[in-house]
Amino acid sequence: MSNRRLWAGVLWMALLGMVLGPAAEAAYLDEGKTFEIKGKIQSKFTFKTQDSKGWATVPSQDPRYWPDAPNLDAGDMIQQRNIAYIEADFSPKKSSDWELKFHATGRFLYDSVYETGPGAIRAIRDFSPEYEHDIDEMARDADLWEGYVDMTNGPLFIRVGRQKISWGETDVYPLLDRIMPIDNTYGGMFEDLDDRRIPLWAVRSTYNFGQTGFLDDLGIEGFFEPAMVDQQFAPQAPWGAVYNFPQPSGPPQQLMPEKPDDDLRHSRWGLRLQGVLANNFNFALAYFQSYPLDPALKSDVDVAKVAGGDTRGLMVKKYWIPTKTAGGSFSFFEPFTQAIFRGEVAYTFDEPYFDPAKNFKTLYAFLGGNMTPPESEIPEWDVLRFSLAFDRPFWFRAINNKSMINWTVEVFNEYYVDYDTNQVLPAPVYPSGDFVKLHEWEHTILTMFYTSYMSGRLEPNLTVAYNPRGAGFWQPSVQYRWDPWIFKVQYDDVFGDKDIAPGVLFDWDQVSFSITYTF
Amino acid sequence: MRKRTRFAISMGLGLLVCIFATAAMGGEFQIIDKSNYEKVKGQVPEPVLEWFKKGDWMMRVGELEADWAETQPSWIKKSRTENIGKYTLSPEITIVDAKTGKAPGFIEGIPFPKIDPKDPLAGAKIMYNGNMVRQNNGPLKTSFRLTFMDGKTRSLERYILVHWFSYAFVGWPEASSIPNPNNLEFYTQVLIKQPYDMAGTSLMTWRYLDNKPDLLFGYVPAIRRVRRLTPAGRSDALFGSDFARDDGGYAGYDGKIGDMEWKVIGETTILGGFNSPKPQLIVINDKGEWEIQGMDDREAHAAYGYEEYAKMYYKGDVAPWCQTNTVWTKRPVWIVEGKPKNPYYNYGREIHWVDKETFTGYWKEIYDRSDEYWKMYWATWGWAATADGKEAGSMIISMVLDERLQHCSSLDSYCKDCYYINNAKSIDLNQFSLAGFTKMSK
Repeated sequence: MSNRRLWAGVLWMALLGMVLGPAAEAAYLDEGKTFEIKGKIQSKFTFKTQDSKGWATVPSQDPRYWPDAPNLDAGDMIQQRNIAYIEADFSPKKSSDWELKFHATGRFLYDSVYETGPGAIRAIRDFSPEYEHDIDEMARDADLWEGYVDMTNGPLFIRVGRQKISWGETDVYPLLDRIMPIDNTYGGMFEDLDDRRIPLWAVRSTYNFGQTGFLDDLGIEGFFEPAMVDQQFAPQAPWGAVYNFPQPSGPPQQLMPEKPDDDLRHSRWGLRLQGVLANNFNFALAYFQSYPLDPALKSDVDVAKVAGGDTRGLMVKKYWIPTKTAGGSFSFFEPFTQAIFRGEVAYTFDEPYFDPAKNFKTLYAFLGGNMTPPESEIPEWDVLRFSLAFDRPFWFRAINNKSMINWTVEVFNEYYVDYDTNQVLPAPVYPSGDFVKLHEWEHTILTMFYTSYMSGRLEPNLTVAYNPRGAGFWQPSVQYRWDPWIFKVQYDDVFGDKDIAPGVLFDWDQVSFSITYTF
Repeated sequence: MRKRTRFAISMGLGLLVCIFATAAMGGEFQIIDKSNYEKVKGQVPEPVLEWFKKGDWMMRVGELEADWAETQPSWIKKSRTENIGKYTLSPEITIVDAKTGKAPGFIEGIPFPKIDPKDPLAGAKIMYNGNMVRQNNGPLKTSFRLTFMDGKTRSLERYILVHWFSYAFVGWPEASSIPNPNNLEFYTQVLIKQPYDMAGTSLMTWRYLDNKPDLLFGYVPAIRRVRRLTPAGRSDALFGSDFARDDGGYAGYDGKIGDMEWKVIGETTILGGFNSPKPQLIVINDKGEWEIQGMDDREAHAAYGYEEYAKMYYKGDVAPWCQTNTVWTKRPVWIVEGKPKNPYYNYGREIHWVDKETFTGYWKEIYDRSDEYWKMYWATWGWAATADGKEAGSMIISMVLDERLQHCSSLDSYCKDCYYINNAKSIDLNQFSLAGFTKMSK
């Protein structure tokens, strides 16, 4: 029996054992209640609700080196993810002016679909030892997910260690919330955002000035993730992974990105002022350096290798290039509408973009017969992103006379400074192979509804996102709590034009079932 | 049988009868239940009589071992004479100095110790006194269980463990020296500790002394950020419970007094609930804080009907929310009616029974917007005093029963992981800033 099956079996047995166990709660390990352990164990099953269409139906261009894409049917399982978070907190009694707290979270992950799923998915892992290695690297993990010490002395707070840092006001689409990398191999955009955030090894500090001049509250926050300490970047799904971005199977070979060197200039850092004005207006001003959510692409050709018949000499390399962002956010209560209005703006300088004529210059030149192709480039531009939103809970007693329905509407906007029509998304549209076009202005309208029934045990939720050019997704879900168990069903449906984001994921519709045990 | 023997046997039997009778009565208390509830007619709200009839409810009626009116901090007792006529209410129903008409800045004790029922503002004044009693306990650090109970299955459904921090800028004497440039009445923070998936969720309220709406913040772990919340949600369910956010405070209402129209509609004697006939011990720690002892002591806990422990006090079957060890004693009360000014508020009118001497609330009938009776709120009181009796404070167990769903929630600081600290001066005010709020959450 392989280690992975044993691991899955142990997890399942643990889950089954808990079925008969008493209701669990977080445990204090000492009488003084300074040491607490808690966590959750979750098993999730996801199934396609439509047949694969698009690139998954196209055979590999070079089956010597690339397997066929997983061509799946509706009803096929595409994810069987088991994950456990174990958290420990130690808060010793205060013996000086400094208050300390220690926190650690271990994360254990195993997605068994690459060994227990449909044949088309198993075939990816079984294609070669290299594929087996890459898939296993992605599908299983045991990590110190968070581990930090908090130190507080009056208005000064310092957190050192692996931690999550999230700025901004938006839901679903990040504007200022681009400090932490996002793991999209973990179920793609349909997963909870917080589950996809990757914590950073950083120092973060806040200082509270309190009431300052005409400001009711003012604080400053800074963080620093030194490049020479284990710097984090968004992992890239290997070819054939279920949530790999749809594209033809074959060259050019996409090489896993190299991290930038340990130069201090490559560190993530940031500064933020936040406060309250006139007893109603929250505001924040931020400036930070971080990395884009996706790496920049640049083609390269190993001419000798290709000449020898190995198409893996056609390559796309991925680069992480730091960018700086300036921005801010605000929110306030408007008494006539009884709503909270909020907004956010983020201006990113020199963000890499994709222009095939520049990023794939080498590749196109070589394929055009040039045996000494010029080097490709990574062009950059400035991007302005901003959003406006309101949150308005309301009573609709015919549907729910005990809890309000929480309603959010957000409009996201992207403006590409120095735009021209050559700029596209590096996502080939099926079947033409043309890249998804970008417009000078891109907009997405997001709305969400949430309420609860049965004294908070039943929580339906609906999220709808729509690009007015004609594509979007909607995501209804229902969660039921029967302490210590939580059951959730979620449906994800992409609709609209295939050549507009997110419509390019048109055959990704899925339904998922998860069961979680908390303690 | 010889005469002496007969006498001895009779005495012994008589003694046995007395012992059992006393046990049935719960010691020195009279047990009121389905069999004899007419005895308390007029001493409980009308819906409670229905509880007796259904067999859901019982009461241990008796006397307390100390004067409840004396178990308040010394500065409250002092204010009962010193604050007479000192304050009044503005047209916006905010507290102002009676002479100058201006906001007083700091108020020690309760602002309106003498109530004239003919005063059209009497209702609002009573409710202000009730809210101020809590502020007079000073900064508060406590934890409590928000417990959910189901009447259909007669069982405990689940609970949420919550930590509570509050810091008042009025009431307790030392607050007079704390700078309050924002004219705040108090800060509160509610932080969920269990269950795991809700842990880290928290709410923070900044309440102002004037009629500015509350500033409400929520921290949502799933999105890792502080989010402004609308104060329009004060009648929304608290974490899915039967409580609305405004069901609380020491008089049964935790919202802004000016958001309701208040009217005194009567006065009477009601049965008010107490966790014990005698106070628990307050130990003043090295920081000058009042640590109430025994919060995790089973003996001090309410004995809920769903627990086997409750049968020690009453062997019959009762609803899971019936606290069989609560002592009910007669208290003089004002009856105050409140009607929301906000047309979107989920409640219609409320009827409060508020102690005339201590301004602590006992019962609240809640009606829906069609003026149909819907829920009952009640509070039972824990109380504590220092060993020398010089200082005293109180703690509250709040309950809300949704009569339609036969579902009840309680907020109870007596549990194995619980603590209660009044006058909690070690609370750092930085905790209530935006930066401090984010730090304490997750």
